[in-house]
Formats: sequence, C-alpha cells, structure tokens
Amino acid sequence: MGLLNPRILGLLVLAAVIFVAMTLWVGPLEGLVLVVGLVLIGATAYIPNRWIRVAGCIYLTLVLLVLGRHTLGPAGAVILTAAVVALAWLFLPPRVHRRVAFMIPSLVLLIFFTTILMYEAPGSPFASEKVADEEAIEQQMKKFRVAKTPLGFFGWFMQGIIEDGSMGLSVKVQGRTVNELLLPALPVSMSLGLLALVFAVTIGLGLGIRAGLKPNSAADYTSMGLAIVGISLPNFVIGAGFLILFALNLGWLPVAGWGSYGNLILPALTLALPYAAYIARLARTGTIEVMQQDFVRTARAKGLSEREVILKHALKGAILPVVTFLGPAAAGILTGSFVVETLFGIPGMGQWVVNSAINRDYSVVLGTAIIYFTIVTFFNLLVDLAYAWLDPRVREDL
Amino acid sequence: MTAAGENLLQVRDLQTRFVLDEGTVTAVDGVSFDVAKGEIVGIVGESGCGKSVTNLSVLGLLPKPQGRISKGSVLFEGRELVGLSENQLRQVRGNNIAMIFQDPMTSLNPYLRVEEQLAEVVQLHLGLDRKAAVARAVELLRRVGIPDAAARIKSYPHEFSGGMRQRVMIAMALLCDPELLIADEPTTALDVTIQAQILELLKELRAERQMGIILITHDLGVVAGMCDRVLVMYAGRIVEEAPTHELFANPQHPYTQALLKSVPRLDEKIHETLFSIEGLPPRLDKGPFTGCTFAPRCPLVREACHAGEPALEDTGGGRKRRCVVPVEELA
Repeated sequence: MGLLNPRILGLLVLAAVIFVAMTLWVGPLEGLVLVVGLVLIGATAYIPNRWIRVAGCIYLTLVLLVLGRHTLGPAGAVILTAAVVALAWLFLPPRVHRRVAFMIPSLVLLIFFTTILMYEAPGSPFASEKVADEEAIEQQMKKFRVAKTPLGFFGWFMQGIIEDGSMGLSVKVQGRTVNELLLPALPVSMSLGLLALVFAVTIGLGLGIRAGLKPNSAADYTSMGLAIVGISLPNFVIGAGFLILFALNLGWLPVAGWGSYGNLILPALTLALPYAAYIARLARTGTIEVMQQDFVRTARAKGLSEREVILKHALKGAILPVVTFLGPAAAGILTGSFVVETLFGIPGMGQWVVNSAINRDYSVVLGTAIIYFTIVTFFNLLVDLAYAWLDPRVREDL
Repeated sequence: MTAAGENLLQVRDLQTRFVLDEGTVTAVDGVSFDVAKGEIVGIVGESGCGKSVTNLSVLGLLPKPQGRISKGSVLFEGRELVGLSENQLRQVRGNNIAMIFQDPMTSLNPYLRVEEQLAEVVQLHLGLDRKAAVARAVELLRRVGIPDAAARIKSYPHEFSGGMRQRVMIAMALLCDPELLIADEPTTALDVTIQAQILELLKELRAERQMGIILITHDLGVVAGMCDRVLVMYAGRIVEEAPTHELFANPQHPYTQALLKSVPRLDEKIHETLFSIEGLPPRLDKGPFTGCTFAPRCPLVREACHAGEPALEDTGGGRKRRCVVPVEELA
C-alpha cells in the first residue's frame, strides 16, 4: 500500500515525466501548474460518491457567481447561484456532480495548455514584415494584455474572466472584445447546427434502420451507397451542388445570407449530410445486431406484430451506437463549420475558429476553445444521461 | 402419468430448408410426431441436428428470408398452421403455443421492465386492460415462485438471477394458458440445483394445466426425469422414437445407444476415458445423402446402410426406428 502501490507509483512517474518534459519545453513553473491541474482533475475520479456532491456544488457555485455577477449584478448572481446549487444538490445524480467537478478544472487547464501551445507556435500577433521597434511592440503588448510568458498571459486572461466576465480585447480586430465577436456568432452557429443535427438524425436513422431491417436488399444497398457518397464528398461540393440545384436552377431557396428561415435550410442540409451518412451506417449495424438478439425472437414468439417488435423491443438497442456518436457529432455540428458558413455567407463561429488561429489572435483562440470545450463536454454528459435512460443496466452506476 | 388424451399437435413429414449463399440446406427432413394433451415429449440430439428448427417451424418463427417450410403439415388442434399468414400465426403464438428459450439472460429484453414484457402479452391476446394484465402477470410470477412478485415485477431483467429469469420466462409463456409449451433447452444455461427446480416447476404446471410440453434438450438426464416419450434426432431426421423408459432400457438405434453410452456414470472408474462418438454429424449443406446419415460414425455399419436411406419402421409398442440392423444385434 501507500506510495509503493504500483498504480500510484505509475502516476507519480507519469507526473514526473510530464513535469520534466514541460520544463525542457517551456519552463518549470508551467510544468508544475500542468501537473497540479492534472492531479486535480484525476482526483475527481477518486472522490467517493458521498463527497462528490460537495465538490460539484462548490465548482458550480464558483462558476455561477462569476458568470452571474456580470450579467445579473451581485444580488441576482447570489439568488441564481443559491437556487441552481440547491436544485443541483437535491436532484442531480452523483454522476453529473462528478462530471461538473471534472469539467471545471479541465476547462481551466484547457485554457492554460492552449495558451502554451499558442505561445510555442511560431509567430505572434505582433509579428509583421515591417521591422517594428521593440518599444512599440511592448506598448502594444501592454495594451492588449499580451504577457511575455504563457503563464503571465494565462494569469491575465483568467483575471479578466473572473473580474469583468470578459475574455479581453481581440488583438487583431481593432477595438472589439472577444465577447463582442463571439457571443453574436454563437447563436447563429447553434441554430444552424441544431437544424443540421435534426436533419442528420432523422435522415441517418431513417435510412440506417430501414437498411438494417433488410440487410443486403435493394433498400440496403441504396442507403449505404448514399451514405458512402455523403461521407466521401467534401461538403463544399455538396453545398455548391445544392446551391446550383435549389437556389439557381429551381429558385426555391435563397443563395446565401442570414436572417430568414429559408437561409437555414441549404447550409443545414450541407452540414448534416456527412453526419447523416455516418449515423446511417451506425444505425444499420445496430439494427442488424439487435434483430439477431434472442429477445427479439422472444418478442416474435409472443405473437407481437413486426411493427411492435421493432418499435418496442428492438429500437432502443439499435440506436445506442448512434447515441454514443451524437456527443462528438453534436459538438462538431453546433460549433459551426468554416467551409459551410463561408459558402453560404453565414456570420457564425466558423470564421473566428479559423481566422483567429491563422492570425494568432490569442484571446479569440482561447474564446473559441472555451466554447468548443463547453459544448463537447455538455453533449457528452447529455449522451451519458441518454444512454442511462435507454439502457437500465447502465443506470445503476449513475 | 401419461394423460395421453386427445392429440394436440400433429407434425407430418415436415421439411424445412434454408436458402443460403453457399447453397440450400435441408435442416429438417421428413419429421413426423404427435404431442397429446398433458404429455411431455422430449427431443434429443447433438447440436445442429434440427431440434430447434423443427420447433421454430411449428410456430413459423424461422429466420426470414432464408428459412422456410418446404413440405409437410403441422396440425394444431386440427388446424393447419403451415401456410397461415403472419397475422393468423400471431394469434397462435404466445396464446395457444408458447415458447421458452435456452438462455434467460438474453431472451428477456434488457431495456424493458418485466411488467411491460409480461403485460403486453396479456393485453395482446386476452384483450385485458393494462391494470388487469399486470394483475394477471403478478399472479403468474407468484405461481412460478418469484417472491414478492408485486414489487419485483417493476424490475428489469438484469436485476434477477439466472434461475429467477427463467421463472419469469416461464411465467411469460403461461400468461395466456397455452395448450402447448415448447421449451427449447430451458435449463442448459442454469446450474444444477436451479435446473432441478425449474424442471420440477414444469412438471407441476403440466399436471395442473394439462398442457402438452415439447422439451428440447441434449441432456439425457433431463429426458429420463421428465419425458413421457422421446424422439431422437440426427442430421435433421428422427432416427428413433420410444416411450422414455423403453428407450433407456432397450435402445433400438446405434446412435441412441452411443448417446446413452456417452453419459458419464457414477460407477465408472475415474481414470477411464469417457466414451464419445467418433467423428462429426454430416454437414447438411452437402446433402442430399444416399444412405443412412449415421453410417460413417456407426460401429455396426454394413453394406445395406449405404444402399439407401432406411425407412422409419414401426417396431410396435409405440416405438419407431430408422435402421437396417436387426434389433437383436443391438442388444
């Protein structure tokens, strides 16, 4: 036991390796912060169920207070926090608390590590062809709160979030804060993404289940052929095809822009197709597998109609693999696609994700990373809960 | 205690084929047998000999589209089941003829509460409302020996032990008072003490409801303890049929003899090698066969065995056998 426990020993060795590597690469302080952060995150797995609720609520309180203070004012923040935390304490299962206790330190660590990566990547927001004098650059750095070291930048960035609820000024887009850039773009990408998600799931499940019920039939080959096309055609080709057919030739839908419901349909379809194709393949496999299960034979032996057998007995099992895929898929769809948004002239998140990275617009990069991370973890949590809802055998470890 | 009353099930010359990519397989060929009310008929044989397919054919539950009945007739209470539409067959399934399967772990739906899985049968066939259906389900769970049935019915299958799950399966099969119960290796997946309990339960239920039971098994011990009559199947055919005690006392087919010899005995010396039948059953996709299908493995094989398939001859006293070797030589 104790320190000689091979598992703990292994973790210690891992921590040492990370620390040494980080020291050689960036610096000892950065190495230390990373190791401490990882330990904090790893520790959430070992907190017993009795205490995890406390940890989850503490983290929840911190986040809500910070966010609430800048949107609702101090009094509103306290009321909101008290209400939400009380509800969470009473009703959230331990698994969700554990996830919260895992998410928040992870988010901070993500910000930290992204900062390091940005600093270590060649170039800087102030690099240009002109040879600028040192003093001017230093002034610029001060103005945009870009520190010399990644740790310094991380400190300022976190300070900004906690004190003003702001992710700072964009270095490249003059006079705009990150919040001003990203917050209006987020709902655009989200609404486009939600519609795309609905398309992807309905088309994917429809084709996949139909194919899986009659494997090797004409319907199967047709849907799987379509799926291959959907997966392999790049979305700018699909999108352009849609534009030519539905917007130019048939004139049913607007070519590009944002503002009406009609603007949503073509980009959402374009965004959805590759995902629909993937979902169709997963649903097909799931359906074939579940239809061979003994309990499906039992259901038939009871005299149920084929429709009841499929809808009541087989469907849940058939869509489980799809549900697993929905977590990462939803995150990918909802955060927007640079290609699709550019093609259809949509003012979404995609442009910022790509441009900020190219421009080394440090604060915007972090902003997009935070949003992406939040959506990914949120949807993974939703997927886990959906899984437990679908499969009672999983429900027990909730 | 054979209550060999009126005939319940009459299978005549049943032939079931599977059309696969590799060719057509005749899984069941020319099988005929009867089951009377209140009678337990055992079907024994090695894996793949057609026991299960025979019974899936009775209910039209063959895997589609590969499997189908190509010949023969299945009369249930005088009504022809072969050729009925799916809708007509559904009226019979779970209602007049119910089935329980080998593995209670996988035969119950893991995603639905037991309550749902039981009540849906009652609602479907007896037309009761939900509340009455659940009440009936609880009553049957109680009958098959599930303690605290009213509360347990809310559980999911994984919350029951293997033996309890098989009891749930049996309760599910009995919900509509079927005239015939087909039990496909109902105890194979269970440990021995649980096996005994389940078999005892089946016997009780048979006596109580005068229901016919077809018991598919490869366990000759189960057959000896349960069945009134036994069918021995080999390579899709019935090779011997006899009342249970006579089959054990005096088998009339070399295959049956070999099967009986391969059961380990308590009075055997520990270090002796267990008897096993040399070779494997023929691959059914290699058929049709000209001679006796057991001939390649038969210790008593002779010229006549290869001449043609022996007929299933009636040797009197309710016994039938499919072998050219004179009965005296088998003794």
